[in-house]
Amino acid sequence: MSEYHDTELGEALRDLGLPEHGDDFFRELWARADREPSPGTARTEDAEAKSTGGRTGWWARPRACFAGLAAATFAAALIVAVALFGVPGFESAGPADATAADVLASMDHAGETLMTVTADIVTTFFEPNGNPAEEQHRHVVVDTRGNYLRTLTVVNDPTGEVDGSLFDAAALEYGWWRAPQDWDGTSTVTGALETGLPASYGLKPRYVDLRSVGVIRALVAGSDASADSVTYDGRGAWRLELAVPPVADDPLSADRVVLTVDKETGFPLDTVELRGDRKVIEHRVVAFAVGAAGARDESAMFRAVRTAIVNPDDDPMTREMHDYGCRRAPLGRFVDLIGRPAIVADWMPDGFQLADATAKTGIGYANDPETSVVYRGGLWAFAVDSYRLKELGVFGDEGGVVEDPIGENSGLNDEVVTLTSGLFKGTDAHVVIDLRKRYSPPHLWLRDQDRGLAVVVLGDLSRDELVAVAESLELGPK
Amino acid sequence: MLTAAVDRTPTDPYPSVIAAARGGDRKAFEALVMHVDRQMRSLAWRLLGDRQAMDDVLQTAYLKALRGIRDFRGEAAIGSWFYRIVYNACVDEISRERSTSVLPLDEAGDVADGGPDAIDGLAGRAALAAALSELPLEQRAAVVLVDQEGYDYRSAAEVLGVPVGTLGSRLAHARAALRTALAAGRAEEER
Repeated sequence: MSEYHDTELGEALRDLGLPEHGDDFFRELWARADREPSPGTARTEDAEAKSTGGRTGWWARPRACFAGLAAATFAAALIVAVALFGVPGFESAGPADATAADVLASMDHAGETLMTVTADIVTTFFEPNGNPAEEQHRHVVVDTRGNYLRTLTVVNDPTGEVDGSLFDAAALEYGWWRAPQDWDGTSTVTGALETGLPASYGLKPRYVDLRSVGVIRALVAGSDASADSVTYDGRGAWRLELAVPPVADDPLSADRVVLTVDKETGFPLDTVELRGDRKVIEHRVVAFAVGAAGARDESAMFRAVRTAIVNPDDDPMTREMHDYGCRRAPLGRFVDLIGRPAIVADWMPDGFQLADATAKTGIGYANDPETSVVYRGGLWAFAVDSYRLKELGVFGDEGGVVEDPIGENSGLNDEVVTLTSGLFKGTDAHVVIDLRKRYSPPHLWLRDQDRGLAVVVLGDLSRDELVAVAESLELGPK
Repeated sequence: MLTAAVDRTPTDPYPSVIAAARGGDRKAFEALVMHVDRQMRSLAWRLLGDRQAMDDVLQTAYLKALRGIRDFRGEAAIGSWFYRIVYNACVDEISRERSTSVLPLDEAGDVADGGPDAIDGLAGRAALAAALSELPLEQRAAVVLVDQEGYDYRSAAEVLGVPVGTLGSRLAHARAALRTALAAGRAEEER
């Protein structure tokens, strides 16, 4: 879909004018606000009340609540400091006996055979005084084929609604829904379905919903910390502490993260973000299973939702479904489909291999990549996406604005690297690993005016791995 | 005039203010409200068409935002976050009232503050206001966010909780109706 603004109509609408508030609007507003608990405390009270209210589901209202697990600039030093915390479920199993590199190798090796991880996660946000402010419950299913499902319940959510979302990698389909907690799958619910998505699309929700999953590999890969072997609710795990530079203007950002990583799968079992000695956010796995089933096996609800949110009369005005026009294809067919080859990686970390590729076949959303090539290594994945500059509004010839195709407020914390090899040798690339302030995955982006392309490498890669992949980029087969 | 989209979605100019508001600083929250109020007032006015209802809904929405600001984690611009709260509050209000709001034509004239050349006189303005008020709520919200306020499609779709394609369909219908009204208003002016 081409994106336009009707500037003349917009001007006419603005000229319709706008009434001011009534004279007492703000006086009344702030008087009412004075009678409100201060921000955050009300939620704590609600949470306590709701916690005994008989909620049983792991549903959720999709709260785009993904702000930040970890660090601003990833190039900053990640220090060694192993210390045990009083986190329930921990039991020390011995002295420090591994390094972050060992942990990473274990994680990547485990992913070679892993099929599915199912986990229930409790996320607790803490007030500056250390009191818990809000508790969220997530049920997640992630598999090595790229499927993922999550439902989320905010314990003190007064709406009583739940949210769910699922990415079906085989169908290139993403759906989300909002429903009452007692929804039986038969009535109409709020939601939407998006089909024909780029292959890389499934990577991004993981950083929205599962930030503690998506960033862990990148954190560990960039660290030289030592790790302790511990047990967590009976599972063997690695435990290590990483220091991260806090965001100066955000009093709720952490300055260190304590990770507990499952030895078998590499899945983070416990992630505690701290500012000094004070907890900021904790993600704690309370139920965990590894199996051969896939996320799609849990998709009965998704199928019901799919039926419920697609208007049966197929009215395009109310049918909450859209085909974005990306199609899976062998790399050798890309020239036939879109007139140019895909951009592919010639180097990737051990354990990764080509998994999926899509071409945008002329329709769909303007800001989706024209070529998207995904590489997977167990649970971990990265993608090489490319865009035509002329289709990417932010790169418009008139505006000439240089912006990150997938990020917000780009340029604030980017590291600029001049690539020394590969198809884009000599090009300046922007490395963006700003895990607390954005919801985008670790990524590197560049634009090549001569070729009229913008390219993004994104996914579970460290800073050095992002650069290495970028310096290996080449044209795919013709 | 249709112009290729440039991302004009408002960004958050005051990260320190947002952080302070999240931490419970009332003055910081008040500053945020003042920062976004014109946009929120514009959306509520276009959707509700009644000054008192606009103020009532915005009071409710701002108090809800006050209770929820602790949960704002920077995943979207603060304006988008407020927009979503206000939009939902407007939908709730309209559902509650079970009535379709119509912007009175005289009010359209009363509040107009554009210059004489900005739009083709009172008749054109009234025709556009009337056409806007007759649009379905969802279409009205779409055209206000995208064409009036300059939001990009994806941000507007997120505010409204619909796919981008749905937003595009709503925009197409809304623009067609409003452009027809504009043309009719101009024709009347010329007579």
